[in-house]
Amino acid sequence: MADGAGFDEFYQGSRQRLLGYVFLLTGDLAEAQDVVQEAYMRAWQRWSTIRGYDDPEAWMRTVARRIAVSQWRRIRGRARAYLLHGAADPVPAPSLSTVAVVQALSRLPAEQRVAIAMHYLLGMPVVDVARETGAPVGTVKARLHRGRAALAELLAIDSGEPADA
Amino acid sequence: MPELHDLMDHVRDDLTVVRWPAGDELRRRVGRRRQRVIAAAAALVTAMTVGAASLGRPDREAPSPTATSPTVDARPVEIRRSALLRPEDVGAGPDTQADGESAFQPIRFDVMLDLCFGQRAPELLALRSLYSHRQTLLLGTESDRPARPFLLGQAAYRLTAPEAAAFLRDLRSAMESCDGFTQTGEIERSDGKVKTTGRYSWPIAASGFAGDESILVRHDALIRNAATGEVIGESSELSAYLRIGDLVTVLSPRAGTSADDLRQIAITAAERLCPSANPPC
Repeated sequence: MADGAGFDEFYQGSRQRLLGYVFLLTGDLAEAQDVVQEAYMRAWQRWSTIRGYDDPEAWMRTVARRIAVSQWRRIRGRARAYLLHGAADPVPAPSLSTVAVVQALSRLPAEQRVAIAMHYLLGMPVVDVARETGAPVGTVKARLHRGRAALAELLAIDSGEPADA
Repeated sequence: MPELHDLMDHVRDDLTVVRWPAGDELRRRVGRRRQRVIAAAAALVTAMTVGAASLGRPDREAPSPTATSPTVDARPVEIRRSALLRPEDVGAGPDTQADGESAFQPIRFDVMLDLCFGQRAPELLALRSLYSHRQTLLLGTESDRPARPFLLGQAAYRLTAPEAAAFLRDLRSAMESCDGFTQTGEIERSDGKVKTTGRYSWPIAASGFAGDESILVRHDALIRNAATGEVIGESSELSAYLRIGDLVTVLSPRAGTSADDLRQIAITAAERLCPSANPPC
Protein backbone atom coordinates (compact mmCIF):
# COMPACT_ATOMS: atom_id res chain seq x y z
CA MET A 1 0.00 0.00 0.00
CA ALA A 2 1.47 3.35 -1.00
CA ASP A 3 1.39 6.91 0.33
CA GLY A 4 2.35 6.23 3.93
CA ALA A 5 3.59 9.80 4.17
CA GLY A 6 0.20 11.14 3.07
CA PHE A 7 -1.56 8.98 5.62
CA ASP A 8 0.84 10.09 8.35
CA GLU A 9 0.18 13.73 7.52
CA PHE A 10 -3.53 13.20 7.61
CA TYR A 11 -3.28 11.29 10.88
CA GLN A 12 -1.13 13.96 12.47
CA GLY A 13 -3.35 16.78 11.27
CA SER A 14 -6.72 15.33 12.19
CA ARG A 15 -6.23 13.06 15.20
CA GLN A 16 -6.65 15.75 17.89
CA ARG A 17 -9.96 16.84 16.44
CA LEU A 18 -11.22 13.31 16.09
CA LEU A 19 -10.12 12.55 19.63
CA GLY A 20 -11.98 15.60 20.96
CA TYR A 21 -15.08 14.63 19.03
CA VAL A 22 -15.10 11.03 20.24
CA PHE A 23 -14.23 12.14 23.76
CA LEU A 24 -17.27 14.42 23.89
CA LEU A 25 -19.48 11.66 22.56
CA THR A 26 -18.22 8.92 24.83
CA GLY A 27 -17.07 10.73 27.96
CA ASP A 28 -14.00 8.52 28.40
CA LEU A 29 -10.58 9.69 27.26
CA ALA A 30 -8.82 6.33 27.29
CA GLU A 31 -11.67 4.75 25.39
CA ALA A 32 -11.70 7.66 22.96
CA GLN A 33 -7.98 7.12 22.31
CA ASP A 34 -8.59 3.45 21.59
CA VAL A 35 -11.51 4.24 19.31
CA VAL A 36 -9.58 6.90 17.40
CA GLN A 37 -6.53 4.70 16.87
CA GLU A 38 -8.73 1.85 15.70
CA ALA A 39 -10.46 4.23 13.28
CA TYR A 40 -7.12 5.32 11.82
CA MET A 41 -6.03 1.72 11.43
CA ARG A 42 -9.19 1.05 9.46
CA ALA A 43 -8.53 4.20 7.44
CA TRP A 44 -5.06 2.97 6.51
CA GLN A 45 -6.56 -0.30 5.26
CA ARG A 46 -8.65 1.73 2.80
CA TRP A 47 -6.35 4.71 2.39
CA SER A 48 -6.10 4.49 -1.38
CA THR A 49 -9.85 5.23 -1.49
CA ILE A 50 -10.20 7.54 1.48
CA ARG A 51 -7.41 9.90 0.46
CA GLY A 52 -9.46 10.79 -2.61
CA TYR A 53 -12.51 11.84 -0.61
CA ASP A 54 -13.40 15.52 -0.46
CA ASP A 55 -13.55 15.33 3.30
CA PRO A 56 -11.69 12.31 4.70
CA GLU A 57 -12.35 13.56 8.24
CA ALA A 58 -16.09 13.06 7.75
CA TRP A 59 -15.42 9.41 6.97
CA MET A 60 -13.28 9.16 10.09
CA ARG A 61 -16.02 10.63 12.25
CA THR A 62 -18.56 8.18 10.92
CA VAL A 63 -16.30 5.18 11.46
CA ALA A 64 -15.18 6.36 14.90
CA ARG A 65 -18.77 6.87 15.95
CA ARG A 66 -19.66 3.33 14.86
CA ILE A 67 -16.72 1.91 16.79
CA ALA A 68 -17.60 4.01 19.82
CA VAL A 69 -21.23 2.96 19.77
CA SER A 70 -20.24 -0.67 19.57
CA GLN A 71 -18.19 -0.21 22.71
CA TRP A 72 -20.70 1.98 24.45
CA ARG A 73 -21.50 -0.36 27.35
CA ARG A 74 -17.83 -0.65 28.27
CA ILE A 75 -17.37 3.10 27.92
CA ARG A 76 -20.22 3.85 30.28
CA GLY A 77 -18.62 1.57 32.85
CA ARG A 78 -15.28 3.30 32.46
CA ALA A 79 -16.85 6.75 32.69
CA ARG A 80 -18.42 5.80 36.01
CA ALA A 81 -15.11 4.41 37.23
CA TYR A 82 -13.39 7.64 36.22
CA LEU A 83 -15.84 9.77 38.14
CA LEU A 84 -15.37 7.57 41.19
CA HIS A 85 -11.64 6.97 41.07
CA GLY A 86 -10.18 9.42 38.57
CA ALA A 87 -8.48 8.49 35.32
CA ALA A 88 -6.36 5.38 35.24
CA ASP A 89 -2.69 6.19 34.89
CA PRO A 90 -1.12 7.10 32.46
CA VAL A 91 -4.08 8.71 30.68
CA PRO A 92 -3.78 12.41 31.46
CA ALA A 93 -6.59 13.62 33.69
CA PRO A 94 -8.80 16.22 32.06
CA SER A 95 -9.34 19.49 33.89
CA LEU A 96 -12.40 19.97 36.06
CA SER A 97 -14.07 22.15 33.45
CA THR A 98 -13.59 19.47 30.80
CA VAL A 99 -14.99 16.80 33.10
CA ALA A 100 -17.96 19.06 33.79
CA VAL A 101 -18.57 19.57 30.05
CA VAL A 102 -18.35 15.84 29.39
CA GLN A 103 -20.67 15.06 32.28
CA ALA A 104 -23.17 17.65 31.14
CA LEU A 105 -23.03 16.43 27.55
CA SER A 106 -23.71 12.88 28.68
CA ARG A 107 -27.10 14.11 29.88
CA LEU A 108 -28.08 15.32 26.44
CA PRO A 109 -29.70 13.19 23.76
CA ALA A 110 -27.12 11.72 21.38
CA GLU A 111 -28.20 13.88 18.43
CA GLN A 112 -27.75 17.07 20.47
CA ARG A 113 -24.39 15.86 21.74
CA VAL A 114 -23.22 15.18 18.19
CA ALA A 115 -24.43 18.59 16.98
CA ILE A 116 -22.74 20.40 19.88
CA ALA A 117 -19.47 18.49 19.38
CA MET A 118 -19.42 19.12 15.63
CA HIS A 119 -20.39 22.76 15.80
CA TYR A 120 -18.64 23.99 18.92
CA LEU A 121 -15.65 21.70 19.21
CA LEU A 122 -14.91 21.12 15.54
CA GLY A 123 -16.14 24.51 14.35
CA MET A 124 -18.29 22.97 11.61
CA PRO A 125 -20.87 25.31 10.08
CA VAL A 126 -24.49 24.33 10.66
CA VAL A 127 -24.96 23.34 7.02
CA ASP A 128 -22.04 20.91 7.24
CA VAL A 129 -23.41 19.42 10.45
CA ALA A 130 -26.73 18.99 8.70
CA ARG A 131 -25.11 17.34 5.68
CA GLU A 132 -23.07 14.95 7.76
CA THR A 133 -25.85 13.96 10.13
CA GLY A 134 -28.48 13.78 7.41
CA ALA A 135 -30.76 16.20 9.25
CA PRO A 136 -32.34 19.38 7.87
CA VAL A 137 -30.59 22.63 8.76
CA GLY A 138 -33.55 23.75 10.87
CA THR A 139 -33.38 20.55 12.88
CA VAL A 140 -29.67 21.02 13.53
CA LYS A 141 -30.31 24.60 14.66
CA ALA A 142 -33.00 23.36 17.00
CA ARG A 143 -30.68 20.68 18.39
CA LEU A 144 -27.98 23.26 18.98
CA HIS A 145 -30.43 25.63 20.58
CA ARG A 146 -31.83 22.97 22.92
CA GLY A 147 -28.40 21.55 23.63
CA ARG A 148 -27.01 24.99 24.49
CA ALA A 149 -29.94 25.77 26.72
CA ALA A 150 -29.52 22.47 28.57
CA LEU A 151 -25.77 22.98 28.94
CA ALA A 152 -26.32 26.52 30.14
CA GLU A 153 -28.43 25.16 32.96
CA LEU A 154 -26.05 22.34 33.78
CA LEU A 155 -22.86 24.37 33.54
CA ALA A 156 -24.06 27.90 34.37
CA ILE A 157 -22.63 29.24 31.13
CA ASP A 158 -23.67 31.97 28.78
CA SER A 159 -26.15 30.49 26.31
CA GLY A 160 -26.36 33.57 24.11
CA GLU A 161 -24.41 32.16 21.19
CA PRO A 162 -26.06 32.31 17.78
CA ALA A 163 -26.99 28.90 16.45
CA ASP A 164 -26.28 29.68 12.86
CA ALA A 165 -22.75 30.96 13.21
CA MET B 1 -19.89 33.33 32.96
CA PRO B 2 -17.84 31.37 30.48
CA GLU B 3 -19.13 30.73 27.01
CA LEU B 4 -19.41 27.34 25.39
CA HIS B 5 -16.59 28.27 22.99
CA ASP B 6 -14.28 28.92 25.97
CA LEU B 7 -15.15 25.58 27.52
CA MET B 8 -14.43 23.84 24.25
CA ASP B 9 -11.03 25.56 24.16
CA HIS B 10 -10.36 24.02 27.60
CA VAL B 11 -11.32 20.61 26.23
CA ARG B 12 -8.91 21.06 23.31
CA ASP B 13 -6.16 22.21 25.64
CA ASP B 14 -6.63 19.16 27.85
CA LEU B 15 -6.28 16.86 24.90
CA THR B 16 -2.99 18.33 23.71
CA VAL B 17 -1.12 16.32 26.35
CA VAL B 18 -2.39 13.03 24.97
CA ARG B 19 0.45 10.91 23.65
CA TRP B 20 0.13 9.36 20.23
CA PRO B 21 1.83 6.52 18.44
CA ALA B 22 3.48 7.56 15.19
CA GLY B 23 1.59 7.06 11.95
CA ASP B 24 4.05 4.41 10.77
CA GLU B 25 3.48 2.49 14.01
CA LEU B 26 -0.27 2.39 13.27
CA ARG B 27 0.47 1.23 9.75
CA ARG B 28 2.73 -1.52 11.10
CA ARG B 29 -0.06 -2.67 13.42
CA VAL B 30 -2.37 -2.98 10.43
CA GLY B 31 0.31 -5.03 8.66
CA ARG B 32 0.71 -7.33 11.68
CA ARG B 33 -3.05 -7.70 11.93
CA ARG B 34 -3.21 -8.75 8.29
CA GLN B 35 -0.43 -11.27 8.80
CA ARG B 36 -2.29 -12.79 11.75
CA VAL B 37 -5.45 -13.07 9.67
CA ILE B 38 -3.50 -14.81 6.89
CA ALA B 39 -1.82 -17.13 9.42
CA ALA B 40 -5.18 -17.93 10.99
CA ALA B 41 -6.67 -18.71 7.59
CA ALA B 42 -3.72 -20.99 6.85
CA ALA B 43 -4.17 -22.70 10.20
CA LEU B 44 -7.84 -23.17 9.42
CA VAL B 45 -6.99 -24.87 6.12
CA THR B 46 -4.40 -27.08 7.83
CA ALA B 47 -6.83 -28.03 10.57
CA MET B 48 -9.47 -28.92 8.01
CA THR B 49 -6.94 -31.00 6.09
CA VAL B 50 -6.01 -33.07 9.11
CA GLY B 51 -9.61 -33.35 10.16
CA ALA B 52 -9.23 -31.58 13.42
CA ALA B 53 -12.31 -31.73 15.54
CA SER B 54 -12.04 -28.24 16.84
CA LEU B 55 -10.54 -25.04 15.59
CA GLY B 56 -9.04 -22.12 17.33
CA ARG B 57 -10.57 -18.71 16.91
CA PRO B 58 -9.33 -17.24 13.64
CA ASP B 59 -7.93 -14.08 15.08
CA ARG B 60 -8.49 -11.47 17.62
CA GLU B 61 -8.20 -7.80 17.06
CA ALA B 62 -4.78 -6.37 17.50
CA PRO B 63 -4.01 -5.50 21.08
CA SER B 64 -5.71 -2.27 21.93
CA PRO B 65 -3.22 0.54 21.59
CA THR B 66 -2.47 1.99 24.95
CA ALA B 67 -1.97 5.51 26.07
CA THR B 68 1.64 4.67 26.88
CA SER B 69 2.58 4.48 23.20
CA PRO B 70 5.58 6.67 22.66
CA THR B 71 5.10 10.18 21.44
CA VAL B 72 6.96 10.49 18.20
CA ASP B 73 5.87 13.85 16.90
CA ALA B 74 4.41 16.35 19.32
CA ARG B 75 4.52 19.22 16.86
CA PRO B 76 1.25 21.13 17.11
CA VAL B 77 -0.71 20.91 13.90
CA GLU B 78 -4.05 22.49 14.72
CA ILE B 79 -4.62 26.17 14.09
CA ARG B 80 -6.68 27.55 16.90
CA ARG B 81 -9.43 30.05 16.52
CA SER B 82 -7.42 32.35 18.78
CA ALA B 83 -4.66 32.40 16.13
CA LEU B 84 -7.00 33.99 13.61
CA LEU B 85 -8.06 37.60 13.36
CA ARG B 86 -10.58 38.72 15.96
CA PRO B 87 -13.58 40.92 15.28
CA GLU B 88 -12.00 43.87 17.08
CA ASP B 89 -8.96 43.69 14.77
CA VAL B 90 -11.05 44.70 11.80
CA GLY B 91 -14.06 46.44 13.32
CA ALA B 92 -16.39 43.49 12.75
CA GLY B 93 -19.42 42.52 14.77
CA PRO B 94 -18.97 40.10 17.65
CA ASP B 95 -20.32 36.90 16.12
CA THR B 96 -17.62 35.61 13.80
CA GLN B 97 -18.82 33.01 11.37
CA ALA B 98 -16.84 29.79 11.63
CA ASP B 99 -16.36 28.28 8.21
CA GLY B 100 -14.81 25.10 9.45
CA GLU B 101 -11.46 23.62 10.33
CA SER B 102 -10.10 20.41 9.00
CA ALA B 103 -7.07 18.34 8.15
CA PHE B 104 -5.92 17.47 4.67
CA GLN B 105 -7.89 20.11 2.79
CA PRO B 106 -6.69 21.77 -0.39
CA ILE B 107 -5.90 25.49 -0.43
CA ARG B 108 -8.85 27.45 -1.75
CA PHE B 109 -8.42 30.20 -4.29
CA ASP B 110 -11.00 32.49 -5.81
CA VAL B 111 -13.14 30.89 -8.48
CA MET B 112 -11.40 32.26 -11.56
CA LEU B 113 -7.94 31.67 -10.15
CA ASP B 114 -9.01 28.15 -9.34
CA LEU B 115 -10.15 27.65 -12.94
CA CYS B 116 -6.91 28.99 -14.32
CA PHE B 117 -4.72 26.96 -11.95
CA GLY B 118 -6.66 23.90 -13.04
CA GLN B 119 -5.22 24.47 -16.52
CA ARG B 120 -1.90 26.14 -15.87
CA ALA B 121 -0.76 25.28 -12.34
CA PRO B 122 -2.50 22.07 -11.28
CA GLU B 123 0.21 21.31 -8.72
CA LEU B 124 -1.10 24.20 -6.56
CA LEU B 125 -4.59 22.70 -6.54
CA ALA B 126 -3.17 19.31 -5.60
CA LEU B 127 -1.46 20.74 -2.53
CA ARG B 128 -3.10 19.44 0.65
CA SER B 129 -2.69 21.28 3.93
CA LEU B 130 -1.87 19.50 7.17
CA TYR B 131 -4.56 21.62 8.73
CA SER B 132 -6.84 24.49 7.81
CA HIS B 133 -9.09 26.89 9.67
CA ARG B 134 -11.44 29.33 7.97
CA GLN B 135 -13.63 32.13 9.21
CA THR B 136 -15.70 35.04 7.97
CA LEU B 137 -15.90 38.32 9.82
CA LEU B 138 -19.19 40.13 9.47
CA LEU B 139 -20.49 43.59 10.22
CA GLY B 140 -23.25 44.17 12.76
CA THR B 141 -24.86 41.60 14.98
CA GLU B 142 -27.15 38.70 14.31
CA SER B 143 -30.18 40.84 15.10
CA ASP B 144 -28.93 43.95 13.34
CA ARG B 145 -27.05 43.08 10.19
CA PRO B 146 -26.39 45.57 7.34
CA ALA B 147 -27.49 44.59 3.84
CA ARG B 148 -23.92 43.72 2.84
CA PRO B 149 -22.39 42.32 6.01
CA PHE B 150 -19.31 40.61 4.56
CA LEU B 151 -16.17 42.26 5.86
CA LEU B 152 -13.33 39.78 5.54
CA GLY B 153 -12.73 36.11 4.88
CA GLN B 154 -9.66 34.49 6.36
CA ALA B 155 -8.29 31.04 5.71
CA ALA B 156 -5.20 29.76 7.48
CA TYR B 157 -3.34 26.65 6.40
CA ARG B 158 -0.52 24.69 7.92
CA LEU B 159 1.76 23.11 5.34
CA THR B 160 4.86 21.01 5.62
CA ALA B 161 7.90 23.26 6.04
CA PRO B 162 9.20 22.76 2.46
CA GLU B 163 5.74 23.30 0.97
CA ALA B 164 5.24 26.46 3.02
CA ALA B 165 8.66 27.79 2.05
CA ALA B 166 7.88 27.29 -1.64
CA PHE B 167 4.23 28.35 -1.56
CA LEU B 168 4.41 32.08 -2.27
CA ARG B 169 7.10 31.62 -4.89
CA ASP B 170 4.97 29.00 -6.63
CA LEU B 171 1.87 31.16 -6.26
CA ARG B 172 3.58 34.17 -7.83
CA SER B 173 4.73 32.09 -10.71
CA ALA B 174 1.28 30.51 -11.14
CA MET B 175 -0.37 33.95 -11.12
CA GLU B 176 2.07 35.19 -13.73
CA SER B 177 1.23 32.20 -15.89
CA CYS B 178 -2.46 33.10 -15.51
CA ASP B 179 -2.02 36.68 -16.70
CA GLY B 180 -4.59 37.33 -19.40
CA PHE B 181 -6.59 34.21 -18.64
CA THR B 182 -9.85 34.33 -20.59
CA GLN B 183 -13.15 32.64 -20.09
CA THR B 184 -16.26 32.83 -22.22
CA GLY B 185 -19.74 32.83 -20.76
CA GLU B 186 -23.22 34.18 -21.05
CA ILE B 187 -25.12 36.75 -19.05
CA GLU B 188 -28.80 37.51 -18.92
CA ARG B 189 -29.78 41.09 -19.77
CA SER B 190 -33.09 42.80 -20.27
CA ASP B 191 -32.62 42.49 -24.03
CA GLY B 192 -31.77 38.80 -23.88
CA LYS B 193 -28.75 36.61 -23.36
CA VAL B 194 -25.36 38.03 -24.26
CA LYS B 195 -22.22 36.02 -24.89
CA THR B 196 -19.29 37.41 -22.95
CA THR B 197 -15.56 37.13 -22.81
CA GLY B 198 -13.83 37.75 -19.50
CA ARG B 199 -10.18 38.61 -19.25
CA TYR B 200 -8.53 38.11 -15.88
CA SER B 201 -5.18 38.91 -14.37
CA TRP B 202 -3.68 38.87 -10.90
CA PRO B 203 -0.86 41.40 -10.66
CA ILE B 204 1.16 41.67 -7.44
CA ALA B 205 0.41 45.10 -5.99
CA ALA B 206 2.81 44.94 -3.03
CA SER B 207 5.02 42.48 -1.24
CA GLY B 208 7.07 42.01 1.93
CA PHE B 209 4.80 43.90 4.33
CA ALA B 210 3.94 41.19 6.90
CA GLY B 211 5.11 37.83 8.23
CA ASP B 212 8.03 36.01 6.64
CA GLU B 213 6.67 36.61 3.16
CA SER B 214 3.62 38.41 1.89
CA ILE B 215 2.02 39.58 -1.30
CA LEU B 216 -0.95 41.79 -2.06
CA VAL B 217 -2.72 40.57 -5.16
CA ARG B 218 -5.12 42.54 -7.33
CA HIS B 219 -7.83 40.46 -8.94
CA ASP B 220 -8.60 42.34 -12.16
CA ALA B 221 -11.51 41.28 -14.33
CA LEU B 222 -12.74 42.86 -17.55
CA ILE B 223 -15.91 41.43 -19.09
CA ARG B 224 -16.82 42.30 -22.69
CA ASN B 225 -19.66 41.55 -25.03
CA ALA B 226 -18.08 38.83 -27.14
CA ALA B 227 -19.77 40.06 -30.33
CA THR B 228 -19.29 43.83 -30.06
CA GLY B 229 -16.35 44.21 -27.71
CA GLU B 230 -18.40 46.54 -25.50
CA VAL B 231 -17.23 46.52 -21.87
CA ILE B 232 -20.00 45.06 -19.73
CA GLY B 233 -18.30 44.88 -16.39
CA GLU B 234 -15.03 45.61 -14.69
CA SER B 235 -13.78 44.86 -11.21
CA SER B 236 -10.61 45.05 -9.21
CA GLU B 237 -10.41 43.50 -5.78
CA LEU B 238 -7.56 42.80 -3.43
CA SER B 239 -6.45 39.84 -1.44
CA ALA B 240 -3.39 39.16 0.67
CA TYR B 241 -1.34 35.99 0.99
CA LEU B 242 1.06 35.69 3.91
CA ARG B 243 3.47 33.09 5.15
CA ILE B 244 4.49 32.87 8.77
CA GLY B 245 6.76 29.86 9.33
CA ASP B 246 4.81 26.84 8.18
CA LEU B 247 1.50 28.75 8.13
CA VAL B 248 -0.05 30.41 5.14
CA THR B 249 -3.05 32.68 5.46
CA VAL B 250 -5.27 34.16 2.79
CA LEU B 251 -7.17 37.37 3.50
CA SER B 252 -10.07 38.26 1.24
CA PRO B 253 -11.63 41.60 2.22
CA ARG B 254 -14.85 43.15 1.00
CA ALA B 255 -14.78 45.03 -2.28
CA GLY B 256 -13.50 48.56 -1.87
CA THR B 257 -10.97 47.81 0.87
CA SER B 258 -7.87 49.90 0.26
CA ALA B 259 -4.40 48.44 -0.11
CA ASP B 260 -3.25 50.34 2.99
CA ASP B 261 -6.09 48.96 5.08
CA LEU B 262 -5.45 45.43 3.88
CA ARG B 263 -1.75 45.74 4.65
CA GLN B 264 -2.60 46.80 8.20
CA ILE B 265 -4.98 43.88 8.60
CA ALA B 266 -2.30 41.56 7.22
CA ILE B 267 0.23 42.79 9.77
CA THR B 268 -2.23 42.03 12.58
CA ALA B 269 -3.07 38.64 11.08
CA ALA B 270 0.62 37.74 10.98
CA GLU B 271 1.03 38.77 14.62
CA ARG B 272 -1.94 36.64 15.65
CA LEU B 273 -0.55 33.61 13.82
CA CYS B 274 3.00 34.01 15.10
CA PRO B 275 2.70 31.91 18.28
CA SER B 276 1.14 29.02 16.34
CA ALA B 277 3.74 28.97 13.61
CA ASN B 278 6.64 26.56 13.35
CA PRO B 279 9.07 27.99 14.06
CA PRO B 280 7.22 30.54 16.23
CA CYS B 281 8.12 34.18 15.79
